[in-house]
Order: sequence, then structure tokens, then C-alpha cells
Amino acid sequence: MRTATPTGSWPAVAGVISVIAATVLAGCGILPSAPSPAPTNFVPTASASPGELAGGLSPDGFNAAQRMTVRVRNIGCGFLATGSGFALNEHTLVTNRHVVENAKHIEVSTYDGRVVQATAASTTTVADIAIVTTKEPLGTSYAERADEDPIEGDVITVVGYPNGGRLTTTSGVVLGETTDPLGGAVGPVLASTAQIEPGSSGSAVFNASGQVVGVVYAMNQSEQSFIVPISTLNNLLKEPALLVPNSEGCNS
Amino acid sequence: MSTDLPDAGSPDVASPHDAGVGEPEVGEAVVGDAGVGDAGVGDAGVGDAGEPEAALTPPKSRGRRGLVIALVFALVAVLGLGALSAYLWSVHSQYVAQNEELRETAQDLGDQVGTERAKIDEIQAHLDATNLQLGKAKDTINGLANSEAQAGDDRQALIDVADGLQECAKARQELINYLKQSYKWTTSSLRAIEASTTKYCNEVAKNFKEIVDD
Repeated sequence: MRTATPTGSWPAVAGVISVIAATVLAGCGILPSAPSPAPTNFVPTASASPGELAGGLSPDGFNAAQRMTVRVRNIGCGFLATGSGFALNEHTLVTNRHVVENAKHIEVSTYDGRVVQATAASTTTVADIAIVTTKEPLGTSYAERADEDPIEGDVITVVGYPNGGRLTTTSGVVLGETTDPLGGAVGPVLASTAQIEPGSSGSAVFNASGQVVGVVYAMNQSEQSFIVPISTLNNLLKEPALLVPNSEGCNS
Repeated sequence: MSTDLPDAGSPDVASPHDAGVGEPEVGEAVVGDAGVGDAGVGDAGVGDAGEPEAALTPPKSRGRRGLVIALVFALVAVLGLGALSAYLWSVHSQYVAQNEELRETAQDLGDQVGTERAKIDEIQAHLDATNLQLGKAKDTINGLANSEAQAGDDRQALIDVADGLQECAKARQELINYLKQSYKWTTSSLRAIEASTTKYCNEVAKNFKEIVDD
């Protein structure tokens, strides 16, 4: 009859063990776990290469806008005129119609002093724009044209050769659309506060992203500059029929 | 306490009343009898089998059962605490080992960072100096390009002046030829040709002087 005692006590013992086991299991939740494996690589991920940053490394200290800007020399019949322009691609540049007007010969100087001979020039009556082609390459930096015109208040930068002198960068703000003060343009033009000089004609106008948003072509006595909007240039480049070859040579 | 434990061969254990130990009535009696472990146990130990007093025997087995439970509980607790301690010690050891490893790694990395920072400072100084030189070189390039452009303008202007002087010389030679055969021409026409030639040549000379003065 000794078995009578276990019969009564084991359930209780089992219950106690169950309670203890449950408590232990529950307690496992608050026990510290073993450490996770220690890291083996402590090298952080590189954020960006200096060359990838805005205004990154330059091969010669000049930025892309300066490298694509050219000085245009119009050798006319008994006169010499200078203006500015910018490279569209290896052999094509944009400037103003009045810069290449009545030219007997056109020469282009790059930012680093190379002289490139122009082979042909085309102009349009729609706007004060001329497209000049060259025999030798202009360089390695070309204009990235914006899709939309700048609006009032946008900050712009003009890079050119005022007075036919040194390569110069100036800034200003777009004042808004207006009609051509010279009366030659078909569409609206832009007025800005960027201060320019004779010789700046044909300079590219850049937005904050470095895209070309217009072409400088005139100024007034209030020191306002006037810009052919990029939409006009884009349309001209899409419609080559609007461009006619510029007549060269001296008639008189 | 050992005196309370009944022997395995004790007649009390073999009492027929044990059969009723598991019955509720007995259990209730046990629960209600606060003196189970005291005099009641002693009485039951000497009581005869089959007598009513034999009902007091369950407290004895209940005491043993409680002891067993306590022992089991203690054993489980000891085992549990042992396991817990072993686990905590193991975790502690792992953390200590990893901490040592990380501390050494941190020390190494700190040394490397210090070395690299020194290199960066040195490179930054070189970079600043190079940037300064690059800025000067850029100004020089810009200046030379401008000089080249101005020289090109001047060269072109001189070519124009040279062409003008050539035209001037040609016009004067024609004037001389006219004068040699002045009898063929009226005086007024000769004077008009001379005036236009002189005006043209003066203009060319003026342009040449402007270029030279610049």
C-alpha cells in the first residue's frame, strides 16, 4: 500500500514542476541573450567621390560653363568686332546674329587661347541667333540645354567676354518676359539684372543647375540685359529651315 | 522530524484506513486539523488498525508528501538556478570575450583613424596649396588667352591697316599718274581725286596710330 502516497503527491509535484517550468520559461524572456557576432568590417560606405559632387574636380580649374564659352571675332570689311558664344557640340556653336553680321571671316577663340576657324554661319530673322560651324573641334564641354525658360526671380549666371577682354562670369536675376526692345524678335524675350557689356553678346545664360536657359543679346541704359529664351533656341534647332546661311564677303 | 516518518514496514502504514487517504473527507479532515504534525501523528502511530483514531494517519503521509514536494521543489529550484547560473555565466563570458575583442579592435581602429587623420591633414594642406596654384594657373591661362585674343585682334587690325596703306599707296600712285598727264584732266577733277586720296590715307594713318598707341 506504499503506492498510495505517490498517487496523491505526484500530481501536486507535477503541478509545482509545471509552475516552476512555466516560470523559468517566462523568465527566459528577460534573460540576456548571448552577444551577436562581432562585426568584422568597420569601413564605412563612401558617401560620394569628390569628382561626383556639384562643381567637382576640374582638369584645369575652369568649370564646364567656362570651357564651353568661346570668343567670336568677326573680321569684317574694314572693321573688327568681337562677341561671345558657347559650344553646342564639337563643331557647332551658338552666338548672336549681330555678332557675325557682315563678316568676311569668323575666328573663334577658346578659353585656353586656341584659335579655331569658322567654316560657316547661319542666322535667322526669328531671333538674334546665329549658328556657327567650325573646322576644328571647339573642346570637350558642350551646352546642356534646359527644356523650360527661366521665370521671374530665377538666379542666372552669364559667362562671356565683355569688351572682348578676359573670360568673365556675372550673375543676376530674371526680371520676367518682355517684348524685344530692338523690335527684331518674333517671340517674347527675357529681361534680367545681369550686368553685361558690349562683347558679351552671344554669351550663354546658365541656371543654378548649369543648364543653358538663354542667350544674351542686348542691354539698355538701365543696366538691364536681354536674353533670347532657351525655348526659342530649342525651336530653331528643331527647325533648321528657319536658319539661312550668312552671306560672307565684302560687297563694296 | 525523522521521528514523524513512519517506517516502511510499520503496521500503521499497512492500516486499512490508508485506503481512504485519497478520499475527500479525509483530506478535508487533514486540512482542517492544524495539529496534524503534532500530537495527532503520535497518536496515530500507536493506534490500532480498524479503530476510528486510525483516520489520523493521513497527516503522516501528507507530511511525507509535503517533504517530497519540498525536496523535489528544492531539487528543481537548485537545478534551475544552476542552469540559470551556468547560462548567465556563459553569456557573461561571451560578452567579456567579445568586449575584449571589440576593445582591441577599437584601439586598433582608433590608431588607424589617428594615422589617417594625420594623412588627411597633410593631404588637405597639399590640396589647398595645389588649389592655390591651380587658381593662379587658371588666371594665367585666362590672361594668356586674353593676350592671345587681343594680339589676334591687333594683328587683324594691322592687316586691315596694311591693306589700307596699300590702297593708299595705290591711290597715290594713280594720282601721280593723273598728274603726269594733267593736261588730260581738269584741275577740279584732279583736286577732287587728290582730296579723296588724302582723306583716305589720313584715315588709314589715324587707324594705324590708334593701334600703335593702344
